[in-house]
Amino acid sequence: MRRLLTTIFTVILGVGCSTDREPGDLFGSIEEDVLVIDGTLIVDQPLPHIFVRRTANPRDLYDPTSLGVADAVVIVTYDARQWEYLAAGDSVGQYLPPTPTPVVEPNTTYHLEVRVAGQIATGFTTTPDRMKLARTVLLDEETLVVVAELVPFSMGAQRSFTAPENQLIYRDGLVEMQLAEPVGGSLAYQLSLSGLDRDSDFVIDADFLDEEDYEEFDREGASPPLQFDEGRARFPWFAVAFEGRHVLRLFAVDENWYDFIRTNLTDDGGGFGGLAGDSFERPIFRLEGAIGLFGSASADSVGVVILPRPDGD
Amino acid sequence: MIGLRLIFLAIGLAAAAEATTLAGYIRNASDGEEVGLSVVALPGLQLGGLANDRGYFAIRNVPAGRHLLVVSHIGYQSYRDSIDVTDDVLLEIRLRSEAIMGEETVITADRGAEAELERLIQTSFLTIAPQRLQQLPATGEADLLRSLQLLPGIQAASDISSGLYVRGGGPDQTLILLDDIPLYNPSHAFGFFSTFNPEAVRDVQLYKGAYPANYGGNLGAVLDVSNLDGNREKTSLSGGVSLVSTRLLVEGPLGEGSWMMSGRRTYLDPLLAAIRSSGTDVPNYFFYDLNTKITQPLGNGGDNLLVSAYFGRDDLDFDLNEAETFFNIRWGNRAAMVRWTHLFDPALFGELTLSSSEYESTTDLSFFDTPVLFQNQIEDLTLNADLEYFLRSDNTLTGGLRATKYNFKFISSFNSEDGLDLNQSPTLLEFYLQDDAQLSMGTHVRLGVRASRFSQADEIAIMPRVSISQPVADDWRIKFGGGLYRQYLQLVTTEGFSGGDFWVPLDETVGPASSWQTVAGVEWEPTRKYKLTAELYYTDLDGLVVIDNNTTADNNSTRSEDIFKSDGTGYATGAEFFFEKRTGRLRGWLGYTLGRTRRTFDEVDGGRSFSPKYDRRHDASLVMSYRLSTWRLGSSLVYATGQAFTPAAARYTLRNPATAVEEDLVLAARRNSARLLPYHRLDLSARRQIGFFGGDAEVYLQIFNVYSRRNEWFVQYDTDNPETEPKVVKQLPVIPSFGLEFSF
Repeated sequence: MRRLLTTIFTVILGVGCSTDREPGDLFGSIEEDVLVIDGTLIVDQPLPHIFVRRTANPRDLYDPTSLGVADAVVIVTYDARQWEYLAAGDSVGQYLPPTPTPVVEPNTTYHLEVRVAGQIATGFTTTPDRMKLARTVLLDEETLVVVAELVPFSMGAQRSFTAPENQLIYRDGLVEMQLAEPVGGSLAYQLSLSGLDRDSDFVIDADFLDEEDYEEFDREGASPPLQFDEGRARFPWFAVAFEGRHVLRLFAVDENWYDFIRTNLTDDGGGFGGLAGDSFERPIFRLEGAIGLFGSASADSVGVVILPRPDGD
Repeated sequence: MIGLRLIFLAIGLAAAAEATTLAGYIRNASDGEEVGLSVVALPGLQLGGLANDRGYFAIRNVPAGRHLLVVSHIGYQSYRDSIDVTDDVLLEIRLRSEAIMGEETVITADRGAEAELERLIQTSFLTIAPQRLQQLPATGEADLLRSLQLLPGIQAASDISSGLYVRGGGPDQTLILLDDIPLYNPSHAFGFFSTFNPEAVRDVQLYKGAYPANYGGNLGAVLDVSNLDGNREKTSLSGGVSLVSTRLLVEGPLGEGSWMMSGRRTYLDPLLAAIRSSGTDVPNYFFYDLNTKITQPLGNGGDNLLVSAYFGRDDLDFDLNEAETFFNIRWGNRAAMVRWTHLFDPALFGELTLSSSEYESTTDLSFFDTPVLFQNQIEDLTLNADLEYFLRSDNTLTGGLRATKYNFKFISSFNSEDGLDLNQSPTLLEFYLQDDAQLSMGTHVRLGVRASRFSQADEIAIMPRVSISQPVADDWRIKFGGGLYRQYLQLVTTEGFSGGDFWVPLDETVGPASSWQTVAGVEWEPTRKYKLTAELYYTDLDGLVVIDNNTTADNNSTRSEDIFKSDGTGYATGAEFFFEKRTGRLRGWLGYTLGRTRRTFDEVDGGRSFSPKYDRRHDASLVMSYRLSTWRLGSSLVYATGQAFTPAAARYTLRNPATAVEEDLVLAARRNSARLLPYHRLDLSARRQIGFFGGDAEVYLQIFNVYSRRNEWFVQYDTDNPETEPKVVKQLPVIPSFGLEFSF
């Protein structure tokens, strides 16, 4: 009896404790070798480079450099004119617009066709109207009164970075971008921050962060989609991690871009179970025969220099 | 109210002969608590009836004379006495608890024990003695909602959640009442514990589906919890100390009535403070709750006044003392009720109740000087009028009116900019009528209808309800139940962090959710010792909503169509088996559910039907307790199919359109198309009765998850790793705990 009970408990412990399993068991129906299209048009900028790649099996070691698709035929059509792209010589999967490269026009529909070994992928985007920031200001965080108006990029990048108004002390005041009126043809807006000084120091300094936490900070970041109902949006200081020159950019995005960013929740589920399940969903791609993004936006920018807080503050 | 009373009296007058009515209240002899739903009989006249759940009974048309009166209820000694009836009589009958030599019934000495008739008529209905729940193995301390998760048809989302997922429905589809007051977020400690202090609970009644017409407002189930009224015979003190909290209950007589006060508080905060003083950053956290009740008879005519209140709060505070980074979240419920019970006529029992319930939550945080604030509040003020007419010994009519004024507030702000500002005050008017009749051949029929009018919905909803119970042999009974249900409020919940839950009223842009439920079952009860129940259920769901996480971050629209993805449909179906052994040294139950539930939303997964996370094909539980002298040993073994989750289908690279930086991404497969490993767990407990400073006490040791199975909770994919290494976050390991319970 004693031996039987011991055996039973041993089996229970053995079966009960183990919940390890093969990582491969945690994948669904594999969608390998699906075409991935990557191209975004910015109004008043040249036609962009377009990337054609494929998806990889998630069970395999991931090497994005091996996923570029060579020998694709990439054609962008608008206003009854076709522009056939050329493969970049040094980067498999990258396709360059022909020269002279036309500038992306507002309120224009661009069609994309990609042909690869019998597969055809298509998409289209209608560019929004031009967008110009009315102004970018620095507010007093207590009174919300404007204390400075920043010099925009349209006045010259050099001037934008050297203007005294654009020298911002980290966590002092609130940076607010303002639009005079909504941008026609756009469904939403998105803010981005890009650090230009790649070797600049951290501007944050907190004892509760360890080395691993610091490694997670990026020099670039983007907001979720915004409505800009009030015609303004404030830049959060938690998006800034480094000192030095930064470009704040506001995009007015088309339907494709909006649908992708609003459904491509990049939260990896950290937190609690419900977030992990519901936040991991398939984005809306708005492409036929492929996944990815072929979208457009209009944009305006301002340059700032982030300065660290004085010692002891 | 007056109109309703006239209707009932008119019906009675039409049916009545000139005879007296024998009426009264039935109470527990040891503490004076109401004993609901006792059987009252005048065997010599072949007349009888059932007391209502307030312990009140009325038998009409009793001829004058001396008659034998018998009152019986499971767990109590039968009351037998000769009564002289000359005029309308109002009695107070005291039942003594029953102890069967050599055995102990599960219902013996359980105050407010099983509601016998309700079990006979109603499908999917059961009651649980709170003392029994307290004896089940638990995590830290006994918890009502976590104990209910051991029953068939009721599931938990995780080890840390006390939310009830009943027959394929989410926690928002279950109406939870405390002394008839709805509680909107009945949880402490982020969902780990419920707000119900087990010390203060008298009755727990659960309708898992097809609930009757006197309840409304939710699509699925009803959990109706009543607190103790207070001991009318003597002042007493009881309480408990566990690793998590201390609780105390004091109660006693107050004139002809009684009073009760119970409180509970966790003492994690001094422990966390001690850890902080050693230099480790940990948050501060505490919760507490308070229940009070006063009952007072008014005059000698059977009137009664009852006042009940609940107050509870959770507070989490985490200040990192630098970089303007802190986190504070506070949430809690407040509820109060005043009830006047009036006998218009010995056969016409009425109650007028005024109640208020409020849930409030505030999340105030700042991350590197970026402030974020969320505040939400739901409060209601309800006036309820109910009448119960004992038409005949085999027929009771009930009806009622209910008027509720809600107040919803939700405000948010981000980076000092105001965001969502919802402030709505809808009203809900409801009326119900119900007839409980016993036909020939022992058939019980309950027919009811409930009508509701929500100010933000463009309809008057008429919702029929039916329940039929038919004995087919000595020990066998078949049952059928069904009805139409509406829900006007939607809960937005985060599993694992219930403090941020909030309720939103559905407006005319979306419309209310609705469900049709049908249940068919069979019961076999050869003796009081054993009972087997088997039920089939099917629920059809329409007008479902889920929160839309795919809107803009600054979406400040308060319209339901802008907050939710709507027009969802779904169904839940299954078969439940429940076998109980209710008496003897060894007691317990074996429960099993075979179930399936699906949801479909146009805006989710391309409109394809998917399994919600809580769709679990198999769910089983084996719960046992064994009394050995002064010891009581307990165990619970649970098994469930793994929850559904969304797996990865591929990896790909795409530039972030706003930064032009390449990002490695994981492509999701179809929604919830994979399954976690099955969940199973064994809990054990041992309790021993001891003397304690002249009173009675019980020390206990509990072990949660004895073999420390690290059940899977959810899956994360790490895109920074070249191998898409899925990380499975596991649930709780083995957790021992101990404590003491005492009474004087």
